[in-house]
Amino acid sequence: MPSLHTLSLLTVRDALARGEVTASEAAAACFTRIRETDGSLGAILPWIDEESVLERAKALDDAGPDPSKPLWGVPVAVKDCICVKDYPTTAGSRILENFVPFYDAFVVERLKQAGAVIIAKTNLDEFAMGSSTEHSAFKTTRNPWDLSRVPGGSSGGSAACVTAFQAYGALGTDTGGSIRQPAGLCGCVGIKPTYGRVSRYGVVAYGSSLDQVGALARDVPDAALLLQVIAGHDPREATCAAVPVDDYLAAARDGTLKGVRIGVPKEFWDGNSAEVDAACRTALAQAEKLGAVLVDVSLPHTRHGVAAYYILSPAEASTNLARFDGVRYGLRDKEAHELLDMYVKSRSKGFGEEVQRRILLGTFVLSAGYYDAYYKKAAQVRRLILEDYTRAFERCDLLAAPAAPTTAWPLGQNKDDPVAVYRQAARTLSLNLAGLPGMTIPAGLGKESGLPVGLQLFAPAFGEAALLGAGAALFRELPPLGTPGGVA
Amino acid sequence: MESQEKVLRVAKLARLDLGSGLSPEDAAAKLATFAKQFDDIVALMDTLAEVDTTGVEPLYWPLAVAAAPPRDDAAARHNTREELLRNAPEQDGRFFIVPKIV
Repeated sequence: MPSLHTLSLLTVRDALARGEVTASEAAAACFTRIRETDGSLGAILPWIDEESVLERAKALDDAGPDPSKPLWGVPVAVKDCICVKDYPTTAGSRILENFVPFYDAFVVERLKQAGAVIIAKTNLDEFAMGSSTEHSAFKTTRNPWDLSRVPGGSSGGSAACVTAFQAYGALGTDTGGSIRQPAGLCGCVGIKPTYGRVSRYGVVAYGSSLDQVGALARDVPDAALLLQVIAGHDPREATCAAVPVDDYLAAARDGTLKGVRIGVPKEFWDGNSAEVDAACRTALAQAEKLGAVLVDVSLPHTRHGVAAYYILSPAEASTNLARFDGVRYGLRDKEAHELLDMYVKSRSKGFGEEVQRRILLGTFVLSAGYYDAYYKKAAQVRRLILEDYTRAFERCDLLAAPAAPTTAWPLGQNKDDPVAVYRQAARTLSLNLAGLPGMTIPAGLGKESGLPVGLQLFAPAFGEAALLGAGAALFRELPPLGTPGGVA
Repeated sequence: MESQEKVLRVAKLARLDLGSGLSPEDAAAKLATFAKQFDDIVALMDTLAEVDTTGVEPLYWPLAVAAAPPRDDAAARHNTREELLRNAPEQDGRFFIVPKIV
């Protein structure tokens, strides 16, 4: 019998439903695991106390398993830019260090209604701006496979937490790859749904036309169930689409690759390290063996994706982060005696360097005289990128691409070269510009580094079921990665 | 120097003081680094000029379907005053308190 904390989300869910495991036991197993591993891993921000979680678990146990609740008693973690009522939600920033929301995000309401036990908030790059989880104001998260390396980001805390068996699943957010890239670098599954599939109500805003909440887990059906629970219409969120939610769990369980046309966009397959290329091509070959048909496609405008993204996302960020002024919530500098001075001092003390950098960029591209040259131009390129995807999906059902050009890199690398870091995200961020869904599955371990390599699959809008079906069918037939060495 | 001035001008618009909490030397170093990085990133942005976007409608919002149907235009009370004031750095139970403006 494997240890309780290593079971898959669905397995523990079924054991809980049958009364073979109690909610208290499942939560306690995760807390034990967190205590054993998180001192070195740093995935968790300690805002949620064990006592209150165990109380919630006990209340569930007292009432007994409820078959109408698909996540009854299942411990899950939530990225700390998503509001959980009565616990701090910091977004990894000093400016929100003392912020305690009085409401749940829509996705958290859904988790609670489904019977889940939220056991922890996970670390992130401040305001989800970053791809290494080194830009949190509170701690650095490390990669479970090698503690001297980054877990990716910005949902690096969620990816590391799930991979290290601290929770059975986690929520993350993805603005330019922040779920799919850390899932790839840590070796777990991560799905970013279509823009509008999941409500952003109660999620700290970064780039409002790009942000989307999604799920991370150790297996595809686990992620499917989490997405099933959080997807759907929310009248409080104007961009949340009123589109029916498919049966994602059934899709993941019954999925097949027979006859599925998978496009291979050459732009994303150039410039990867040899081991990333080899692992992803081996996975594609496996897909072919399982009946998929590979199709060469081109997304010519995606090579401009990085430039367009680093105009549009900072523009939206600078607008969203204008709300932090020390008046209604968040840090206020007490030394300021005049209003403008209070704004400047509070913001300058509260925001870290990467956030300040992006606010400056956003303010610049939106400022008089530059708006058309940068912001409008980037939005036009954005449409050309979407049209590239639309054309590609006329010839294939899904697309496949590596989640990142390399495996996890050492902590501190490229610290003073933001452009180099931004370029690393080229394989993920154009999907956010197009608003389409994508999922990373572990393709295997890199031959040289022995670290996980992630393969992304992309689908047309609201094609999550197709994504999960094909992803599950492929992942089942790929060699398992084994146990991450850094937290064994 | 020109790019340092540009960064300072934009920082002022963004209500940021890049030298906050730093010694004058460290503040100067941070400004120099930011200005260099700013130039690098703007050079990256400038590569978009090579894309022909004549007649292309900008895409500001990627929603693949119509956004949510409008709600009924009815007043509803969602939050209490106490809740809304709870996270304020300074408040008196009725209002947010800020430093003197005039």
